[in-house]
Amino acid sequence: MNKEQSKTVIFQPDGSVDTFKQESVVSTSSRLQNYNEQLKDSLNSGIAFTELLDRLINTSDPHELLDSAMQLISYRLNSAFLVFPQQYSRSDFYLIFLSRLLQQHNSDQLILQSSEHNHELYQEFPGINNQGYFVFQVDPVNEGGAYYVEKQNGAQLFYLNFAKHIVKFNAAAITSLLVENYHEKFVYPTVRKFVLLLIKMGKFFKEDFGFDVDFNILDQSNSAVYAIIKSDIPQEALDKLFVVASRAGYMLQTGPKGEAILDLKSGLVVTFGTEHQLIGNKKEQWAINVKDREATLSWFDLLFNYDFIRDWYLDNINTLEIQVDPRYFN
Amino acid sequence: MANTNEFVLSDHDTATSAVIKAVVSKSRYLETLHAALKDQDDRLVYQLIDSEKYAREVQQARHISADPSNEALVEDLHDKLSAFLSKKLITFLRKNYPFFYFEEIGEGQYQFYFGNWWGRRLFGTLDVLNVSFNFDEVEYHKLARTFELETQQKRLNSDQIEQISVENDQLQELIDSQDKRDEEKANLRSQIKQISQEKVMPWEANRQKEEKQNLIDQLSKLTEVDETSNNAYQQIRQNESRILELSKEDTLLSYEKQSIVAKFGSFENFEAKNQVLYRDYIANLVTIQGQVNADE
Repeated sequence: MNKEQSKTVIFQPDGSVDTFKQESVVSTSSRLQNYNEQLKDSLNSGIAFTELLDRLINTSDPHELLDSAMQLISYRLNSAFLVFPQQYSRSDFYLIFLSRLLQQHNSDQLILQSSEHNHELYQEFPGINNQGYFVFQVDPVNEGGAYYVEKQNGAQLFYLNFAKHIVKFNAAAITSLLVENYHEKFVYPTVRKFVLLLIKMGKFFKEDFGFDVDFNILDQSNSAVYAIIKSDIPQEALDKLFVVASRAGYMLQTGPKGEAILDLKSGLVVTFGTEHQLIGNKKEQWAINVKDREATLSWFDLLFNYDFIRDWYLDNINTLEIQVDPRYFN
Repeated sequence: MANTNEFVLSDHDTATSAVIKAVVSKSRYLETLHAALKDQDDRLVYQLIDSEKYAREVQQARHISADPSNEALVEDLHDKLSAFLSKKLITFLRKNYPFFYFEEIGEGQYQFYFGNWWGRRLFGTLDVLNVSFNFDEVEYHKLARTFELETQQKRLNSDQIEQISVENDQLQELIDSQDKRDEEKANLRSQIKQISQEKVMPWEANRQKEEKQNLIDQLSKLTEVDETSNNAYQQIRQNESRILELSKEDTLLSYEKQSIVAKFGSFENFEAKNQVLYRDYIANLVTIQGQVNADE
């Protein structure tokens, strides 16, 4: 407590100001009162926190859910007067939020678990849970942001930022975890279920909160163009694809505008070309487009299912890798 | 009294009728051509622009009385005539040569690609007036060679790819054996050092010198190998690009071959058909004309 003699300032009714030293008796009483006030504030802040947590856990209103989560991730529960020794971390609140969001949509495929050992919460997905689990890692740079990370592999599957209202999927992590790694361990339907859940989460963010969601390599829309890291024509890679596709019994065709077309089966075509060639915008950036009759497949699905495409893509990843937002992934 | 010193000149009336006859002939030629164009009678146009070829190649045609010299009248219209005649011809060719893709490169000028696959080759130009393909000689030869190699179950570039692959394996081995070489070199150097320090009797000096030279030679040989090994990565990379190029060409050729076999059965049949393309096409025009007339 402040040992220094504090000065008392008295504002007279006539507007003049007198300053003089208090007697120490008065000072102590004031300090006690001050202390008590601070304590009350701290307790109230604690109560307010529990109310927020109540809402996070129980509300059925998506906006209340988002609001409580946003407040909780920046909540300073401890004060100089009151310390709570048992607390959840900021990343835990992201996880609780996500679990609750899924729950509100009656989707319970991701199971929220708590680890006594690591003192943290984590999510696991039935079917792939013997190979790892998922947590959030708070973005150290941008306020309100966190990465959804597979703990074993470190793959940052997507980035979520409450303040910027964005969700961005990460092609590099999805390729390394879901294509390279999981392909050896799990069958397609299992991984597909997980991917569909990720897409569903993205859609909830979009529909419930109006977030800007970049599905990136998982985008199922037929008009989705996956820009590759090489901006101009990946000639050598396409020549290679022509050769390996032929060996696999597929013919890489040339389109009327100079794009490369791979007809995989009836109602499933993948095209490589500039965005201008693919969807008619003004960009000369080279990209990949997947069209399927039901518009339920993305570049990810083709990578998982067609061995020759996967091998080819991974062999030429230095030119073909799908671009991600460089502001959040490096 | 007439001047008897004058030469006798040819009769003016004869001259008049001769020139009129010639002009009428030309005029008739142009009128006939005009009518043929208006009637979309491609067959007749072909006959009119090269009556000799028509008579020679279209066996069933009757003797053509038209004066071939009239054909010179439309020589400067060849591009326009080609543009006119290309419509029906290319429709015919698309049906009979479904693997050729025609691209217009100027009035009445067409080039064609073989196939619709990635990296397809530009295969030649179309001579509309003569109904024939001017194949790109280099590309055509590669295709012909591919068919020849069929009996050996080889592709055009199989041998070359094999040879470069072997070279790459050897280069890779050089890179992989670097550690072993380094060890050998260290060993040789220490041997050389040892020999240099050895004191020997004068009568052994020569033998010792030889031994040392031998070791030095071995060492420089290894150093040479090191140099090759240093450039190996780049060479391997270059070889890989070359292999890709050759594999791509082989793939193209295999598609071309398949296309020809699917439509013609064999390369010989394909060539034989090309030889009689003009006649076949005129016959086709006659048939179409016959159908049109029958419908009327």
